Amino acid sequence: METLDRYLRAVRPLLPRAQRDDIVAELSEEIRSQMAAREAALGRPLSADDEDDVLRGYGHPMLVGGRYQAAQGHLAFGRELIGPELFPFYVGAIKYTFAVSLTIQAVVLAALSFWEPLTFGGILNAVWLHVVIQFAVLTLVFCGLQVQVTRFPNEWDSERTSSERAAAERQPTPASVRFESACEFVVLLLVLRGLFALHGASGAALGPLRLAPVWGAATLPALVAVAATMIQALAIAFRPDWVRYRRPVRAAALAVWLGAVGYLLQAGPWVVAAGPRVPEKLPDLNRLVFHNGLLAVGATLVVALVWEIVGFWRERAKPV
Amino acid sequence: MRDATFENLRLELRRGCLVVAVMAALRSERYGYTLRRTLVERGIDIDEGTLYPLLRRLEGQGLLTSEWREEEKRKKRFYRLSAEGETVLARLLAEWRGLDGSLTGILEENEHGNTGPISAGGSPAAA
Repeated sequence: METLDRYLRAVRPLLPRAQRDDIVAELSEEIRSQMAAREAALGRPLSADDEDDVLRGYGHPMLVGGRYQAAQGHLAFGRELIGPELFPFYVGAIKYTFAVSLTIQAVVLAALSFWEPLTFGGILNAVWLHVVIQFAVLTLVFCGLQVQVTRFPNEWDSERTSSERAAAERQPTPASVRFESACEFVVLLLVLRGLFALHGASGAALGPLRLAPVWGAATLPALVAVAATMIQALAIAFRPDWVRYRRPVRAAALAVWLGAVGYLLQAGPWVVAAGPRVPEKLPDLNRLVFHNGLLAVGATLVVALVWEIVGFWRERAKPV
Repeated sequence: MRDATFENLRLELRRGCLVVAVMAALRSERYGYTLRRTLVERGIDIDEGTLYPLLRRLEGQGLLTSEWREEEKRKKRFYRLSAEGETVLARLLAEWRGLDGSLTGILEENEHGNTGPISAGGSPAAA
């Protein structure tokens, strides 16, 4: 009953912690009873398809785990977008993401307040945009997940669906981890160089325009985040077993970047006139290029942050 | 579209009965698999993914008790109605009979009243 064991391993981390062992034991016993009854009816051992049939009756592991959660609810807008089984995980993901990102934003804004006094309106501006973007991204992710687990209840078993995919999902070799970390270090070095240049150029004239001083304050936390990630990449290149810390460090760095972008968004304008004459297109440049560009960067950072957090959660959920 | 509407309403109607059906079946001690089999044999189709979380929820509400026991060399979790569950079930069944009586009254009124009997098409037939 390998399929059953894999199914229960997939369900287990999605169950309420306090009742996990009990529920898995009960489910195991009930599914075995059902499979035994079907074997007796067929007069032969169950094939893989027969086992799939039995498990399909229980549903995708995420749906099974969700049914045992306390916070039942659903999200509907006309039609149901997120069902009661996934809703507890959706609420959990929102709480976790908001808690992490708001904490890091608070730390970043507190640090930035040493360079520029912050107003309540400024803080609110920096925070609300993240909240809206994170909420929108998480909602879209879970709507997609709802469609996936409903339409493909048996698409949880990566070991069965594709042997090549299963091979790719095996632990990467130390050589590949080292190579990946070395590449990451090089890319980050270029990013660091660019950030130093941006920090130095803050206030410097670029023809009729110059970068607003706000860039200097905003790039400092980003420099720290990049430096921390570079140190980690270097450490992993020498100690590949430390790859398990990669996601939390990346997530923290992304959150710092997000804080910096949020600070920049509320601190416009981003380019100002270098001289007394204000170029005609300056407001358009600020609005169309810098404001929209920062929004796009912010949205990308939110997606990347959620990706790292979900990836870290899934890696933790895998049995050792 | 009509079939889909009927199916949704049918599921809603049956969903409302599940708790009473499960509690009534657990006046005798059963484990999950036999409970489901009993309900299916009586025409109450409930899928496994719904039954076990429902049993946990009812137990959490104090309406059921459960214990692990070994039977035929396998450990199984047996459920039965608790004392509080018996009381709640009695009240739910009284509520059920009241609803049944009211619905019967409405249907009889339609059969013998001004609007006449309800035809298969759903509209009152000519008296």
